[in-house]
Amino acid sequence: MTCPERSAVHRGEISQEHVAECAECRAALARLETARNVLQADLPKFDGPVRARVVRAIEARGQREAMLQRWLWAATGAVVLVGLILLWVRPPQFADDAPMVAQPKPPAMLEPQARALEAGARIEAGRAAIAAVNASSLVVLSRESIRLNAGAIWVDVAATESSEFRVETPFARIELVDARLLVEVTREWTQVSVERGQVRVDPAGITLSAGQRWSSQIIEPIPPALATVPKPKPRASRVVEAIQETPPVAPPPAPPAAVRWLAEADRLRLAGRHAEASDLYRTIALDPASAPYAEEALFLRAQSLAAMNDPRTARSVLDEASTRFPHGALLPERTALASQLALDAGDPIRAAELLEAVEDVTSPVVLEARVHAAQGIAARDRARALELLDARDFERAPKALAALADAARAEIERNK
Amino acid sequence: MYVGPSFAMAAAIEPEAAGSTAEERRVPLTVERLFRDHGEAVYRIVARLLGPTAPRADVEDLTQQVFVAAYGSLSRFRGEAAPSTWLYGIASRTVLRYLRSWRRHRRMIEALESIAEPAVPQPDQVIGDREVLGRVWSCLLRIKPKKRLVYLLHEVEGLSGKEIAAALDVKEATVWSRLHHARRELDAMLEAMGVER
Repeated sequence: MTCPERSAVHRGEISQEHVAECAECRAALARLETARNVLQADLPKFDGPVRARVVRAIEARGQREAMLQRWLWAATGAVVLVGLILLWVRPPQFADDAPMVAQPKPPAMLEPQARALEAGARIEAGRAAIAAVNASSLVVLSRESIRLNAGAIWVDVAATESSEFRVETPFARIELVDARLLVEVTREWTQVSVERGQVRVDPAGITLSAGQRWSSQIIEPIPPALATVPKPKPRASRVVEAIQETPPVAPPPAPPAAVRWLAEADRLRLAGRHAEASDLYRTIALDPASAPYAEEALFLRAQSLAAMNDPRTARSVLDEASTRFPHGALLPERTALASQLALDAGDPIRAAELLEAVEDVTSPVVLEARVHAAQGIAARDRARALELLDARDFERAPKALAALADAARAEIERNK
Repeated sequence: MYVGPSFAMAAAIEPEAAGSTAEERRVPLTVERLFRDHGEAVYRIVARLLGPTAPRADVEDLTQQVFVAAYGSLSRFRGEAAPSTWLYGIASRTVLRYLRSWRRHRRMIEALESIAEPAVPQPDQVIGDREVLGRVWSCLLRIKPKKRLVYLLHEVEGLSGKEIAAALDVKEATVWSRLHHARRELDAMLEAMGVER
């Protein structure tokens, strides 16, 4: 049986009277004291040789930096000197009969800008708002187009102009006007999921509407030498040249069964037919040939089960996902869902424990779940709630989420 | 001309809180002085944060990183906290950055497990201090680094909640919360391992 005062031992607020009476608290106190004593007695040795090595290393590092600094000064001086000499030996040249009029400037050439985005990062790329779901590498080609080389991003383009915005990937060219979509790119495939509006995907030549998903599913990247599609005609713009550098691709083969099943299950889920969707997701999760999609299928099945008010089965499905994919790509989403299920079941402590175990605290879904868990646990454990809302973790979160955390923090502080 | 963090070089900084006595306050704060006064403490806290299975070369490397970082930011040190607190903050961030690699952390735990072999002892079995220490470390390394850091700074290094909050740039309430969680987790694990004395 656990003594209710044992928590006071951990807080360092236990009374001597209680310790004298309660064997359990006495043992807990003794354990912690033993731990402290053996740790204090175990002094790491910082003897002469160690000290000398560290001193030498600090000085050596300092000398390297000093040398680098000297070289930088020398190089800067040399560049300035060369510039001055060139100016001195080349007097300005004016043609006698040339009129002194300003030459028109050539049109500004847009340089493609490579961007490495961390998970959760948000940027404006021309007309599009980009939010990175995980670490992504993209190139902003122009105001109208970007190229995603790796990662997963949300692209949101509002219909302020009639022209199309283009997202290039190694396996697809996506054109959209007023839409929001998720684009995922790996070395093997590209996947497009549309949340709002319509997009056109080439070279597949299909149009996707809201709620639909397309995947290239090329298992092996096609070497450029084997590609049969002729290169597009060259144009003058360097921007277009940059696009042409991407290897030409062959039309993708038909997607494997798992992708078709996932699309069908998604359609059923979005239509509110959760029982049928759940069965189909289970089929995908159990199918050995669909192993690359198993984690996604398990997570989506848990979502459908939660929507069907079957939290118990949803939890067991999430447990299965944790066992099979302890460090899967959907770990933040799975943890957030498990925490929500715990909150719904009236167990905010479990919700907090789940979220505290997540090492990566940059994921917006985890941060949002932490806000909910903090609100749930505030009445029982205010300090723990405030730790879940630690402002430094929310520094790089989307503004709306940071504001939500601020409001929750203020509310908890008010109810002190 | 050598301008790096030499032990003969003195940065022209005299923060008010740099020393505890008037004499010390008049002495310019240099990397040499920082290392002389706090080198051992920094080395010790780095070693303790990494645990007994960390390679000694890593401990030394991180210690020198702390002092090189201190040299780089010496001009920004305003003396609002004691130099030791400031150095503890740099050391904590340096070690946490190092431990952020999950694989590295996992390797350290596995190395400890292979040494400690923390089997539950028989009731009449008396375990020695070395074995207790191994078990304590085995439990500590399972606690999240942020909580472990607060536990070690408070329980072993003897820093106050206020000092830890200043070093880690967090609220004092956060420090107490982390300490509470660390003690609770450590207690539960030690109990499960049969450390009773």
